[in-house]
Amino acid sequence: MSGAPVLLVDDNPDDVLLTRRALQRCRETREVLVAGTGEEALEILHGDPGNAFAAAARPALVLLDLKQPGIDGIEVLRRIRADARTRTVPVIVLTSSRVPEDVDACYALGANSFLQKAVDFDRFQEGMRVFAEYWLAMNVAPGPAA
Amino acid sequence: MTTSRPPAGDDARDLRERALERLRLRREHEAPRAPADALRLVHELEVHQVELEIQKAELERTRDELASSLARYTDLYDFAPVGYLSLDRDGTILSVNLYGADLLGVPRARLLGRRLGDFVPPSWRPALVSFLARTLAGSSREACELALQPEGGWERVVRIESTSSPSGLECRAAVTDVTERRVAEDALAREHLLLSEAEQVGHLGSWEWDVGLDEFRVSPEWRRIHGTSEHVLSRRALSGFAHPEDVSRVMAALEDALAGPRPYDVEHRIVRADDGRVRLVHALAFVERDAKGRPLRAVGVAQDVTDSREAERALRESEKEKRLLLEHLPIGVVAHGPDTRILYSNPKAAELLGLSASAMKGKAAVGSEWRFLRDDGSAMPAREFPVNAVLATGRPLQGLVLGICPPKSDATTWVLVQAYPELGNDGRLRQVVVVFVDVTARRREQAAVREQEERYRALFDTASDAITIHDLETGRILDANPAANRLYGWPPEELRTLRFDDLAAGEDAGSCPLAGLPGHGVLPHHRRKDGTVFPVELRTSAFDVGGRPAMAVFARDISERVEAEARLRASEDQFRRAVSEAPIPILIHDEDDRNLQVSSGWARFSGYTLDDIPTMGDWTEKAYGSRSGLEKKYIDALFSIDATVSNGEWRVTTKDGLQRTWEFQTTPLGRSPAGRRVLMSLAVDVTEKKAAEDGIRRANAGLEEAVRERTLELAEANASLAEANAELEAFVQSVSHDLRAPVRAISGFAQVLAEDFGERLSPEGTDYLGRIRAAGQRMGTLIDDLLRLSRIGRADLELSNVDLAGPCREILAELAAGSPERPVETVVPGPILVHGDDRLLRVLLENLLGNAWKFTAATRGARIEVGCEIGPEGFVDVFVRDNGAGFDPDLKGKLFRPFQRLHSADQFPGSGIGLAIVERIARRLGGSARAEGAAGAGATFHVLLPVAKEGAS
Repeated sequence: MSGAPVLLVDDNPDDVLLTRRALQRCRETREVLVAGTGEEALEILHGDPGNAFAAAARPALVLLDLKQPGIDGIEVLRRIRADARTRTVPVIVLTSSRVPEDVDACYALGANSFLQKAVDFDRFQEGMRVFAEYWLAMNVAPGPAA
Repeated sequence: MTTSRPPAGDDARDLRERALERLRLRREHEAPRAPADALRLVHELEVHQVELEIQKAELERTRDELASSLARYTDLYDFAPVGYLSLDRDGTILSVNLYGADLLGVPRARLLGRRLGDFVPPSWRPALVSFLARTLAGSSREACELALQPEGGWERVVRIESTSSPSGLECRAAVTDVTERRVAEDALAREHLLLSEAEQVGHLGSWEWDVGLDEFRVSPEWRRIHGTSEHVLSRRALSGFAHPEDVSRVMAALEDALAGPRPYDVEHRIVRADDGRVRLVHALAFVERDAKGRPLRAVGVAQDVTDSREAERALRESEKEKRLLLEHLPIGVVAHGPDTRILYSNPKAAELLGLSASAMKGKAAVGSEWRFLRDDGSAMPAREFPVNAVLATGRPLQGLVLGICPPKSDATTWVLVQAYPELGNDGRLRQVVVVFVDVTARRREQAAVREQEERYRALFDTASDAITIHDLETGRILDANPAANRLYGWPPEELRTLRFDDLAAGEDAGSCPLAGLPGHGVLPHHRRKDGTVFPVELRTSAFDVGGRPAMAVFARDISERVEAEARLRASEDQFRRAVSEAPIPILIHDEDDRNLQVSSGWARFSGYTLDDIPTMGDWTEKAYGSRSGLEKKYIDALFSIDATVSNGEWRVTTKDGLQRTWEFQTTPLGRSPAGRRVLMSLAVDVTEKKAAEDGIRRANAGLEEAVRERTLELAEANASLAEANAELEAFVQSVSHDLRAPVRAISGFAQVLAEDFGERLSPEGTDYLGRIRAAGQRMGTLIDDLLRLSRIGRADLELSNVDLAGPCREILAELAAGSPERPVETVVPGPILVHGDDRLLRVLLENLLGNAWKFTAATRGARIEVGCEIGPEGFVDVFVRDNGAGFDPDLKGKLFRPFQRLHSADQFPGSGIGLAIVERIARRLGGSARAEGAAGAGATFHVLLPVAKEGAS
């Protein structure tokens, strides 16, 4: 495993397990940090300067489930984009359903991709693989050349 | 003449001394005498005797001296170049010397006793008399100058100096001839006078400078110029006259001139000594030098040039003004030399000729730059150019009109040209001056006037009205147009011999003097040559023809119009009678509020005749109780209608005070002759009919009330139902979302289990795992469909006109792309226009067409047809017809229920939600859906959708 980690924001342990599994099938494997709530996610991304991640190991990709207790996914996304340190981090929004209002709102706030958590695990796994490889390996991120 | 005087004391003593000496010498030779006294006496006598002897000798010598002196003086007297005369008191000549006699031109002998006055011209005689008197009165010397007229000689001028004799009776005069001196003096004086006058005339003062003495002697004019009375000046004093700013320059010039060799020549300002005025002086001097070249003397002049400089300046100014005038003259001026070359041109000339003034200078008149036109527009040959014409004839040229076609321009400028030769002092041609004025605008105006004249002439000739022009006094026809010839039937030459009266007939003849004609009117009796009489409409217009008052008469045959008017009047009468006799209420009224006519029906039903209601206000007041109420305003507004309108029922109060109901309609009748709009309001009295209808209406009213109440109840029920529905939709949304997570976990972990532990499972176990996964996925699909269905009820509608043909073709193309192996014939006509939400309509079509596609999968020669028919009012019946599996008509009612499947999932996969969605969308858009079909005979689904709205997008 090499490169910056991936941050998964999801409160459902089943989904976390399945998503981890889907990510492991990718050619581009990264350490997966899990935040069970929006607050945890923001702590990891914007926490105090002593936090190792905040400075050096900022996630290379955020997988964000919209349905969260407390601060919900939309708000987390808004804060990610409002903060200069994470403004350019790719965010893939994960949802159970494709409610058009949610999709529109996420794109308006600067989500990079939108992936439905399909009941069909094969489809989900394939979607996750494509997105993760695209954002982690193929896409050229802003900032200093690696 | 001291010698002629007697001896004085000294001489007497001297004489005694000498006499005593001589006596003593004598006694030494002689014996002594007797007694002493006698001796002494003798001695005395002897001395006395000697003294006398000596005295005698002396006297003799003196006498001799005197005689010679007298002879000398007499000669002197006679031959001196001065005339000596002695005159007595009255001028008689007592003595005269020879020169004096010569002066008077008469011998001395004959002169004595004559009067000097005889030789003096009469005008001088009083001077002589007074001179003599003056001389004899005093003892001093007198002098005067007189003219003398000698006998037989030229008049002389003499100077006379005289004294009187001691006795005072005689005047002794010395006369000198001063004629020569006087002549010389006169000449000198005249020269001085001339010089002075010359200096004065030329404002030219002169001076002479003795360099050694440093003395400037200045002439009177010099003094006048400098305002001084000093005759002699020093160099220093001279410099005092120079203007302070010019002093150093003047003195430097003087030093230069002294150093030589150039003369002193300087123009400078002076300040006059007496009045301090500043003048401009030109000073010029030459220096005379001695043999060694040292300056001795300088002679110079100073001229006051203030006035001449001022005059020069004024001349220059006037030249400038003249030039300025030429530069700004709105007239072109060109001066040509005898070789036609342009010597001068002013800016206006350059402008008119289309060249800059500098470009014109030096050009010859015959250049290719200009093309000139004659007055008639033809090209002008060079020999006719103004300058050439003047050069050829030597005479001035006037009134030539010439067109200038300047280079690089096609606009012709027309000018009126004058040209004249100008001769020099030697009588030879110096230049030809060509002067020209732009007359383009005037020419254009003239052309326009001509054109207008032609136009008027054409108008005159082609006018359909007869136009005759008459001498106003005699009525004689001066001119007539062809229409006049036609109208009156006279050939042109005969018509012109007639007078206005000859054209009138009957009552009009003679009774209408031309001058008394109105500007516009109708004369019913005009006559043709053949004697027929006809009415005319006349217009007249007075004007001048060559200074004589004339009148143009425009006549139009109005026979036809008169007939038409008569017919119209008849028709009007008929209409009027039709209205007045009508048995129903009819009122004709105009926009000035006047009622023009009422029918007998109106009078019968309302009780009012036209006399009762002369105005609409009167009518509304009587019938509706107000002159300006709503009814009146409504009626006033009717004047804008352009077709018949129904006004509904009006309750009018009749003259009897009864209420009647009139149903009105109003028709516009156009305009009155005065241009006011006229309406015909026509009524049907429906009072009785209304009474019958009111009974029915009252019966209906109860029924309507019941319906209204029931409707209200239903609406309330609907509202709470809608609320419940919305809650249910939200519940479904939330539940189905939450259901997905566990289903996903079941399905997902079943797959994980299969992947990770599949090898350890028996085939049966693997089968069970597959079933768990499949069930999970079906559950997922059901949840998704349920969500979709619920969303349709919640979506916001955006309504517009939609053509369904395009989306149908797109969806069919997508389906064909998904199953390229299936040959399906599709028919989509276009356009299929409905009114609805385009997103929902697309979902509807996707489901209908997807269904048809799915259920024709097993059909050979599959065919899907889309079409539309006219539905019930306001709806389009859109249908999708296929020849697929069809359905059992008995189950038709279940077809649109959610999750209702008519076939097994093995046969045709699906959740059974599609038609429910179709039905829901149709309902949401205000329409409905139904199905026709039979098992194995295909199916046709009809959807009723609102028709496209006119004007909507």
